Amino acid sequence: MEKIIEIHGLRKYYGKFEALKGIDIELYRGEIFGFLGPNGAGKTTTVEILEGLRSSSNGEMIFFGEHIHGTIPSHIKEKIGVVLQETHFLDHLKVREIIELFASFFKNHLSIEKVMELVQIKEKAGAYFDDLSGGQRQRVAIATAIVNDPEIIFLDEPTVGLDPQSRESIWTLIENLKRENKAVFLTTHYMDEAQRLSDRISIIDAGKIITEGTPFELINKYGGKSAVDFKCEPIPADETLKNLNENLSKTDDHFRIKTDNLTKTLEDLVIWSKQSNISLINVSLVEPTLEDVFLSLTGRELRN
Amino acid sequence: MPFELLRKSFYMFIRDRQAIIMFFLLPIIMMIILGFVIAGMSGSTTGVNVKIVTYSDSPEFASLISKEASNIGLNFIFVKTPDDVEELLKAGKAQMGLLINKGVFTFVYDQSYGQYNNYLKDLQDIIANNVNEYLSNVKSFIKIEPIPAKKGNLTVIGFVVPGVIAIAIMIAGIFGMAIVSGNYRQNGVLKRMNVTPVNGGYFFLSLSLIRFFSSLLSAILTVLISEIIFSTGYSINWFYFIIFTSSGILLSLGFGTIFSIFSRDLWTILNLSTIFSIVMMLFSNVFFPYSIMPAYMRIISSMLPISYFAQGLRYVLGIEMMHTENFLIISTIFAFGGITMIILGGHLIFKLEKN
Amino acid sequence: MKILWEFFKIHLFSDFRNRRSIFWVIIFPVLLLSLLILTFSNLGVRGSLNFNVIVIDESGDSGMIFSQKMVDILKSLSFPNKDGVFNLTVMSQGDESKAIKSIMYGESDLLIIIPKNFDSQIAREVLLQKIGFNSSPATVETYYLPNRASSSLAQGLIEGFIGQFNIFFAKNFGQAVQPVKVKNKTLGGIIGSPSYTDFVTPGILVIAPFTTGLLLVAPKLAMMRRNRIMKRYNSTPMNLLSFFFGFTFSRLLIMILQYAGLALFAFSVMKTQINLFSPSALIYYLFSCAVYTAIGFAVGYAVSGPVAVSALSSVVNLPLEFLAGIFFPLFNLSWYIQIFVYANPLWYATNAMRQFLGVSISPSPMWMNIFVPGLWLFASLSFSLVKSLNERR
Repeated sequence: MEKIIEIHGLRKYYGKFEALKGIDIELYRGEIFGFLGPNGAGKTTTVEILEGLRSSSNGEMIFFGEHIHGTIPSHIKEKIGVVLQETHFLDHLKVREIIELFASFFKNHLSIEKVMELVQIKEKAGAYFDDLSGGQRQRVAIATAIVNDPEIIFLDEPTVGLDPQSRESIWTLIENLKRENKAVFLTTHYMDEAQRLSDRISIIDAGKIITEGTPFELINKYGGKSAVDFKCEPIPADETLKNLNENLSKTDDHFRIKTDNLTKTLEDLVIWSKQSNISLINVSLVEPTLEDVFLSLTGRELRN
Repeated sequence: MPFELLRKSFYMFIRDRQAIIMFFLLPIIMMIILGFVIAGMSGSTTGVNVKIVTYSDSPEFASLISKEASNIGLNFIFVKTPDDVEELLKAGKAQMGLLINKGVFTFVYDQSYGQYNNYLKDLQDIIANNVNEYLSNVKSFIKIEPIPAKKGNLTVIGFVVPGVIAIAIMIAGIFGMAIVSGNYRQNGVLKRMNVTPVNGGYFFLSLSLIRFFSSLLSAILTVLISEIIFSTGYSINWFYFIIFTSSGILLSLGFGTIFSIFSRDLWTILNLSTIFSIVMMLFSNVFFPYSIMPAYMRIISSMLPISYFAQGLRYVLGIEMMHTENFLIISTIFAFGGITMIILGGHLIFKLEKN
Repeated sequence: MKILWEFFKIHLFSDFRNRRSIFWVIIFPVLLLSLLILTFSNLGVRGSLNFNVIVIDESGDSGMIFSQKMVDILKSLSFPNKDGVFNLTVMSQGDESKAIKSIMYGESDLLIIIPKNFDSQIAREVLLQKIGFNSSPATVETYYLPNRASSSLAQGLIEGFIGQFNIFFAKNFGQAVQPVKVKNKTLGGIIGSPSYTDFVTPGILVIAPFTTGLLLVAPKLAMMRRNRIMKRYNSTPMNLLSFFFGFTFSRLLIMILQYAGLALFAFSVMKTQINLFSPSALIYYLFSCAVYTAIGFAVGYAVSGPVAVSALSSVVNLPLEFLAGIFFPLFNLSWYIQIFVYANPLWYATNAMRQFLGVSISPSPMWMNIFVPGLWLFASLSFSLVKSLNERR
């Protein structure tokens, strides 16, 4: 795959404070790259430097094979699309007018009709932006980001505050971008979103990338053990439970066994239930998620 | 719960820089600016005094004029050249100029005095009459002895400033209330309050109460500062002052509440308040006395509460007399009207938010 | 160029579709002009003077007519006569204290008391004058409140009318009275006899673009910054200058439309005589527009919230306009108020516009009228530029 962005040792100082302590990122054509991190970790600074909103203090940035110092120049911005979190536009403007305005910023752009078709907002072309629903607004924001037919698209929290259907449709849009061989740079607080969309993920904390890999790799590496959750009828005495498993934990009437060997644990559980004449109810398997990865790496909830 | 609501209103108010400026700084600034602008127009801060800068080619006329001047209450300033007349006039040292040349009287007006020249033109006739009298050797059959009906420190500025304070307090009250309720409507705060058992009228009353106290405090400050700046020499009846100012503040808070009924958009509410304030300022008898207003203005002016607020304020500051029953009626109407507008307005706004 | 045009277009669209912008741009100045003219154009003209005057004739029934004549002359100067200036109430003897009270309570402006021996005094005087002796005139007492403008003005008028009484008596006794020649000259009036409309219209032409600069620039900019619209623009290859000029030109167009609309209104409805199409006035107007737009930019960068801007600016507006001498002329201000006048760009603009539109000569030198607003322009632009560059670091 073609490498589009290559960042080495990116640093940013605000006065004496070192917000970024040498970041390395690579972005390839046709992939969705998830960029995660707790608040204040340097996520926004990194993204804003890549979007051309801030200058870097130090480090190597290569966009499309070209070395860049300080701020991203305009000819690079021609190939970039940006969706900021919760985009607003001027009051009293129509959807078509907003997209036309953004189209005018670029030397080359797609036809307005085509863009509206791509984001499925055509039927609202003449509507005022203020009158649109959250999902529709976000589509307009994506339209303004793809109107220049960019090669990289930065998406900052693209589905914040949207209902499940709208989220689903925005996800489909993002997957379509990947299918068109664009590179997508996604920052999000939603771990399900990151897990579902990202091909690769980097996690930043305290100005440093602390890990990187595919979601699967990260979960395997840091997600911890799988677990079996269940309830019992009647509730067994502590004596009875003793023989079951040493990794057993109990919250109210709810039991959990963490394990590396799921098959064996399940077998043991069934045998134990028969022997002690206790019926198992609500048995479920709990797989580790990105959320667990995140927590174990940063020790912080993502939304703090 | 009622106390809690009040306490929260208080915190919200004192943390709101904009509201503090509106209620404290604005009235004082307005008082100072308007006080000077109006007093400056009257020619002096001590009395309505028309100064006429005069050049005469004959000393005989000059002495005649000085003699007549004492009769008709005008203040003549004699200068050496016709150019000096224009200069002093332009500098605002006099309101009218007079050039006497070969027996011809030329009255000089300053265009920038605008509408005030209408009155000066009446004076022109009076001066001409007096000179006629003398030239034709008309003896004085009658003379006037003016007697002030009231003794004491009587300055124009002392008369003007209470009116200006009245305007400043009312504008601050109207805008202050309109902004907060408009803001709450626009941001959906009232909608949120609506799902609680809080009563609309009650909520607005709690919003008003803290604004009421700060406005009262600011009114007292404004009066004291005006005394320092303009040496107005009030003899303030503090008890009446508090009662009357309170009623006026309640009324203006009421107006502010009523204006926010009309729209959910803060801007529209501000627009309404602006128009009302300007009408109130221009058509009140604060800037110009009733007696020189055209009839239609007199009618509008007599319908505006600001005219009565200014009158009452002059009374409590010891500037003008007022019948006690009128004072009581005005205070009662203002206070009840204000509270009714706040409660009904708040109730109505809550109701509107429901639909 | 295309980007500039797009910005120009969308900012016009977004304002023309907005009720609040329409209010401040069109309705507010027209309303203000109408209100001011309605208020002041008839203020103090003969027909509108209306002093409440009480007269008490204490001379009683002396059989002579002088006191009665005096009352008659006062009546002739009162309503409902044409050109009347008084509302005359004749009270009877003994009502003196009631009348003085009425002055004190501000219900009447002036009390004239014709004293007991008035008739006999005048008679004595006529006699003495005929035989060539000197005499002292009969005294009429007037009660008034010197600090009440109304009362004081009425007192001044009566003093003046005494001359008329004396001439009247002189004529009655067969003396010929020669009137002096009286002429008028208006200083600083470039056109013949400027009305209040002419006086105030240049000021409204200053207020209108200033309001636009403040309310259609600052809150909009604050909103675009807060909602990260500016950031979104910055992430594209678009040059910030395109935004600046597109946005600014759209404001200028609105201001030019304001001039055209107000001029049309002042000319056709209010019948102003000022020279509305003076090229120097138009050029100066454009200069002021640039100044106010720049101030709007600075305010928009200085504050964070659009609501704060709009609320504060709609309140700050009025004092600034008063201190520009737009509604009333500014005289005898104390030094600390004068400082604000000298710093107020609206004052210079009003002065310059009055001169260029042919109303009156500017009290401040013309170079100052350009220099001080120019300083504001420079300072505002520098401030905005520094702020906007800081935000990109």
